[in-house]
Amino acid sequence: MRNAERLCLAHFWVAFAAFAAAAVLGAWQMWVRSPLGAHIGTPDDYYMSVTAHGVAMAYVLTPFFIMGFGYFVAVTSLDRPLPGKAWAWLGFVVAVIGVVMVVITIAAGKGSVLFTFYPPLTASPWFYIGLVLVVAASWVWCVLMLVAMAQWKRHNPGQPVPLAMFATVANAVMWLWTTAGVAVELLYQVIPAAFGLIQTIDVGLARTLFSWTLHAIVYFWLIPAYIAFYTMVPRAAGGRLYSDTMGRITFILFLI
Amino acid sequence: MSEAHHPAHERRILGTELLWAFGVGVLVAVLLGMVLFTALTQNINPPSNVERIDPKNLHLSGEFAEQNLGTVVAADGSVTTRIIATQFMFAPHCVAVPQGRPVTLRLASPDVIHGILVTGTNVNTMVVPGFVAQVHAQFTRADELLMPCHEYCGLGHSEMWATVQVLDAAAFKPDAEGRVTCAQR
Repeated sequence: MRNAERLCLAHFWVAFAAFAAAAVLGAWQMWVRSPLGAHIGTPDDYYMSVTAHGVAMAYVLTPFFIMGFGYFVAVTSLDRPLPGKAWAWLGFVVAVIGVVMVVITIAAGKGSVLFTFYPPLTASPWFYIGLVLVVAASWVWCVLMLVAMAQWKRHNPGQPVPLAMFATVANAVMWLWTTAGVAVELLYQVIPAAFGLIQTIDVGLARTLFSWTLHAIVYFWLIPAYIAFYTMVPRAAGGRLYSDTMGRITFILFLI
Repeated sequence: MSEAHHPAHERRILGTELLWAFGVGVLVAVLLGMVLFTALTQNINPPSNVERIDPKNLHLSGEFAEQNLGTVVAADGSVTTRIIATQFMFAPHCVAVPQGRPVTLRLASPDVIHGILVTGTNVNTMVVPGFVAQVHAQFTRADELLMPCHEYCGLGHSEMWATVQVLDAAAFKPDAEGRVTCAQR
């Protein structure tokens, strides 16, 4: 198996393992909240499970799938070797370490603040630091997408970059910009408070910073789905996209 | 010249693109219009009051001190209901409001983020520590409405709720200080 394929698959395995776990947790939550299982479980179990479900979906499935998908798009649509494969693997390892830290803190009952954090509720600092590692690793991916496009452009002057890569780069730029909110919230407010270095949190500011990121997590997911519909589905159906220009406008509008 | 690059083809494709762009533009305008319409006709708006309050001492004095909580009718007849949302209860646990009269709900939190909605009404807001959450409402039906906390506030979150008792004019009787409490049932 080629290195780039292994890289994509490694990301997909982590992503779908998280999805499988989250699916089981989701079913369990529905059951214990229904009259059938109302006598089972405690609020501690329930909110631990809700936190694990949200974190798995928002911070593991989402970035890992999209990173793997982006590497796949870069290799197949640009028809060039992926630049910075060592960086890509480093990002993967850092993200996995982050996930392990998050899983351990949640399982120890020290992370039950849901994936939206709700400061001034406070979890173990290692819960937040694990998430920062995942986000930082996703930034490595963003930069690699930009570098891959720049290299292709240098070798193909005057040509428009293939739509799939154009859209992937739009997604990477969107993610770089919108994750700044959660990164600032965690690094300057939540983590210092979790270590006890600061005694108060401006909750209004924390909510504002988080909302900068929150909705973008959905778009981070949506854009790869659109990329598949704009580029892979037409090919699979034996045709081609009617208007490349409209496709590009779509992704520019998404970014705006 | 390939078929796709023939000027007539290019023109036809451009025409289709512009038609789709126009259609999408109309769709966006209609959706924004619907938002505006519901905001103006059905009062579906995000709460927009920005008013700071110190969560550390709001219970010691002022409007959120214990004796000032609940519903009060001012001399000019305006009705204000003040509630503290705290882990994991509302104080007071039941508030009385008049049927068919404007009511101002004011909430504050001394600890973490809470939220409220009143079932069957458009009352829906977060209660963020450091800010007063304010909602203007008019309750149309004399009824007992459930008001649960709807923002995760800790392990007791699902046990945190209060009751809004909507009283008709006969039952909504302020005492000498203008206070109205829930009728015992």
